Amino acid sequence: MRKRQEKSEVHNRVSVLRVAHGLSRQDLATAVGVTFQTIGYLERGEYSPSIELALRLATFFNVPVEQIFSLTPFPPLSETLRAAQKGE
Amino acid sequence: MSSQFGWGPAQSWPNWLGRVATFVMFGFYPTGAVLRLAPSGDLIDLVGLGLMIIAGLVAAAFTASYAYQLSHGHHDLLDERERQVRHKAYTLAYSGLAALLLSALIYMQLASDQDWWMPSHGDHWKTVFWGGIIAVFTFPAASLVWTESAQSGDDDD
Repeated sequence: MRKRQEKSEVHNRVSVLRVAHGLSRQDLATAVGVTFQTIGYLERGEYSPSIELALRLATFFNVPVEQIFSLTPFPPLSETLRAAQKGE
Repeated sequence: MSSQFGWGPAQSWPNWLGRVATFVMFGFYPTGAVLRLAPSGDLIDLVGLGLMIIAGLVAAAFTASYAYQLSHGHHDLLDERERQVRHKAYTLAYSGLAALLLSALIYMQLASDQDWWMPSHGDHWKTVFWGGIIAVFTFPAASLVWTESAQSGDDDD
């Protein structure tokens, strides 16, 4: 039987979005109905959420779910900003 | 951390403290029991009893830990990750207890054939009983403190 990897393979931007909204883990946890520990595990990539929790987070941040979660790593914020500046 | 499980305050014990607690519970209790069996006099008997009492007190204190309340709190009060963690804890605890029970059964089978020591009077059975109670109630939480990453300090902003 294949051994499951400890580390989640679902990448997310939960911490970036949370900080951008000026929220503590407890605030976000209360808003989406989980414990602050679960938000911590999620941000560290140690837990992959259910579809329900992913959708609740997307609804809360008012962004499409694929902007929060991805199977491939998100590019660093600096890279995204540089690309955006070049595009201007 | 305030409790979300419906009884006393759950304390976010650092993992090392939880691990020390499990070491004391599962190390001191059997050591104390063996010391009490040895026919070496009152002092050794007293030390054995002391070790068992310490193990019992640590087990009682351990019930206030987040790991214990996660494994014994009301199911409806857990979120999805906590339910997964509890499931994992019970799977591990079942394996541990099954191994313990199997070992005890094998020992008793051999002991009856080989004329080895067996619990024979009330004191012995009480020791086995309380050891079993500690193991049954704390195995799931004990497995958590050894398998989960640190949970304290998560709300760090």
